[in-house]
Amino acid sequence: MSIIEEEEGLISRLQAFDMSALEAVFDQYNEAIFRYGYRLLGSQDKAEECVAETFSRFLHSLKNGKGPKKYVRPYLYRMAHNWITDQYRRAIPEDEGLPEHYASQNDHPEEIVLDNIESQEIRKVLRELPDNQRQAVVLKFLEGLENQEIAIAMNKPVGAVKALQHRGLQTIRKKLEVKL
Amino acid sequence: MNNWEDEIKQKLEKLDAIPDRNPLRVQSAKKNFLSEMRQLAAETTVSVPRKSWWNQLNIKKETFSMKLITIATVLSLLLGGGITAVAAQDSLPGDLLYPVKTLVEDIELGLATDPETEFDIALNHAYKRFEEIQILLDEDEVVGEAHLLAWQESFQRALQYGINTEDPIGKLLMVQQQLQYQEEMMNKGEQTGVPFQNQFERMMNYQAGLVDASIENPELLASELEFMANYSNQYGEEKLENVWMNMYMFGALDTEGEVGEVQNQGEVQHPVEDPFMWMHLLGNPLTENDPAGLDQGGTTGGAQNSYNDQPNGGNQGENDNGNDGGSGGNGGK
Repeated sequence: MSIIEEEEGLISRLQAFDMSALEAVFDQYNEAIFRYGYRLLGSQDKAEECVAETFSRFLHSLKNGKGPKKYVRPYLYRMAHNWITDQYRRAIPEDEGLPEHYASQNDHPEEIVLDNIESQEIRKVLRELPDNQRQAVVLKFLEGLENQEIAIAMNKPVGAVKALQHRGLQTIRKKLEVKL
Repeated sequence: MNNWEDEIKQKLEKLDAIPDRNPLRVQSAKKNFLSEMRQLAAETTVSVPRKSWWNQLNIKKETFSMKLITIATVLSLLLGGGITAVAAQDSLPGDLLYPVKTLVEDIELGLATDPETEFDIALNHAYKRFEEIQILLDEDEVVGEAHLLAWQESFQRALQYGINTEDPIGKLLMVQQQLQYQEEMMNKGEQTGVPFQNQFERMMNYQAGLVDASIENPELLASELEFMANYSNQYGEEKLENVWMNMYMFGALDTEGEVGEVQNQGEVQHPVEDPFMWMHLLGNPLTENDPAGLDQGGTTGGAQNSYNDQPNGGNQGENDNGNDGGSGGNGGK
């Protein structure tokens, strides 16, 4: 049974604003939304804000009779994505770099610094991507969602999602000037 | 798989390094979530009275009977509920007397006899809706979708009356001025970045875009309003409002299952940025099975997609789903 099918039983409870179901959704996905926010915004504060806003929107949507009709996870990612896009439009966030307690597998400080610079560079490139290319690429290659789920999150056909991923990678390549 | 693609993916993996999350903040996030959830669960849904605002275009045909009804209502309010009606003027959405306030407003509008007065009253109501939202914000009250829709409805109504006057451009300029004022007032307030503000910002942007474009060509506005009214008549106000809210909430015309992929329609720019979205969307005749193409929730296959991330109208036909692959609409303005 796929993740999408597993979530189907939840929907009617969520639509009825069943608090235990809502709490379960928060427990299940808040970490993933944090990671998504951090990867794109490079800031723990912003990532926490992303979690708070995404789940707040989620609650308000359900309260207003909206919310997911079939699948929870793609819906949450779409809300998080929209919030992040709003942040991009507002101001350029400062990438806060690695926090002090960051535990890297790499013990060499200079390599940690280089890794960090590279991460910032990639984040910057992602930020410059067209909105839907970024969403298609990040959900697939960083968040590990199946294309079918991404299609639901983006409300596009699977074929279009694949095309966006391909174009997104090409754009990243151009921007990073990767040598073949 | 191409080597360069693998290389890019490896680079993307650099972002897999996520710092440990502060456990205190995790606890705090959950606490806030549960608190908001309980607060919302305890609230009864506030319903702002639903008026058939999209049928305002037909108001002229019903003038006589409407006047009789409104005069009767006014008399009953004066005789039995005059004090209530006055007291209701300071009420806010969610208050017990708020429906009385909007009823009095409807009556005020219904009693107006010429388009100029109707427009003035409608614009005044639009300002009242904005004031209410501001007061709710100041009092840290929840501003719900119903309030946002009421704000939008009041502006649409002012536009409808405005274009029926002898000086439509002058009226549209007045609407534009008021929108600018409201926008300034909103920007002065605290930017909390809450979802409500994002939606309201989108709504304001959309309204401002519609008014700006209409000043250049009021006939297009008349046509756009007619397309909206037709859609509302055919599929109901609720459906129309769902499309609006999805658009403002997600920045797209559609949400999963509720309003599906847009197909076989005219060219729509990004909906929030397309002032004449309805006209472009519904440019083709409506059919029962395909109400504006908005009910098709399919997510597989290469449906034609009106959106395009390429500013110069690139081709979206790279999908691998065979013959159904669609080409992107002409992106960009």
